[in-house]
Amino acid sequence: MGFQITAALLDACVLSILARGDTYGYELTQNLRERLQVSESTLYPVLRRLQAGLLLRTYDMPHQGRNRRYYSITEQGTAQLVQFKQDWSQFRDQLNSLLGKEG
Amino acid sequence: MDKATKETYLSELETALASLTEADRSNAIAYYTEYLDDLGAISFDEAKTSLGTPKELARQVKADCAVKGLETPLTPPPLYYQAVPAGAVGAPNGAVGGSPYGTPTGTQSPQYYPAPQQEAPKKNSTPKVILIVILAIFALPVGVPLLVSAVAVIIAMLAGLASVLIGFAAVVFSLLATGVVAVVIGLVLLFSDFATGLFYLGGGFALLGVSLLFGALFYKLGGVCVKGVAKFFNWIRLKLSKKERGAK
Repeated sequence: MGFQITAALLDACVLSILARGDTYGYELTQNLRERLQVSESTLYPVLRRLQAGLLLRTYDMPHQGRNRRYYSITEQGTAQLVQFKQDWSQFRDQLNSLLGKEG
Repeated sequence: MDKATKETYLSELETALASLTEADRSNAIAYYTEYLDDLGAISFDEAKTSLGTPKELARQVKADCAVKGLETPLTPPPLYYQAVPAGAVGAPNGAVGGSPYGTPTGTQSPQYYPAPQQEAPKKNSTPKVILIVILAIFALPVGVPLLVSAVAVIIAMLAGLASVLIGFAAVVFSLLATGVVAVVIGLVLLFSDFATGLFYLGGGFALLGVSLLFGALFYKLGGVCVKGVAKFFNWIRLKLSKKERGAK
């Protein structure tokens, strides 16, 4: 694909996945990679960034004798996701009108 | 089986992340430990196939920590603790060696953690600043005399150049003055003692010619010197401003 996925788009994608329910790093990566061509090491920085921005929080749950860290969207994250969706549809409309596709 | 395992991979990753703060490093290690567990990777090569070499992975982790990850959140951290069920924080059972992946609590209640980035920037920058200050203090006894002597050398060089130029100018001027005087004497003597007058006149013109030649030479030389000095100071200014920018 000739288009780069920007940091903001990745943030939006991760928040959107988390909005459907809490999940852990590996599953989140798989979810993302089902639809997007991103490397397996892409997600860690994204998660860190979102956590630093208080858009998600983490908690640990035991799983087969070890801990699994779950990621959960915060209220701020939900608000940000709404904003992301607005921005995205605006961006998509602009591009569509530019590229000559019916809105 | 002497093949490298994923533990080797993780320890190499840890080494490659040595420049990060303890919190940032252990967070990354914990994340990728869990990731490789979930992936079911056992060998070094399996880990490498998914995530790249430890060094590549480290570069990605570091780039993020340096650029985006470390801004202090605007909202204070206590937000996170509100979700912790009473008593769950203190649960002492089986803490895993101080890692942020912490205590597996018996209950299934979620345990929230503060964003680990908060104190990181301070931790990283304060010792560096202190180190630079200490180094600067240690460098003072050597640096100040060095600076003074450098300035002295520059001033001496300028003074030397100026004295040569002034000397040259004096020579030219004296040649000119002598020439003019000789011509005047020659003209006066021409009427009383023709031969001597002619000698003075000729000598005077010769001196004037030489002084004009030297004068032209001096003019050229002076121009070159001024240009050179100007260039030199411009160069110093550039160097200094570059250093300042570099230090920032």
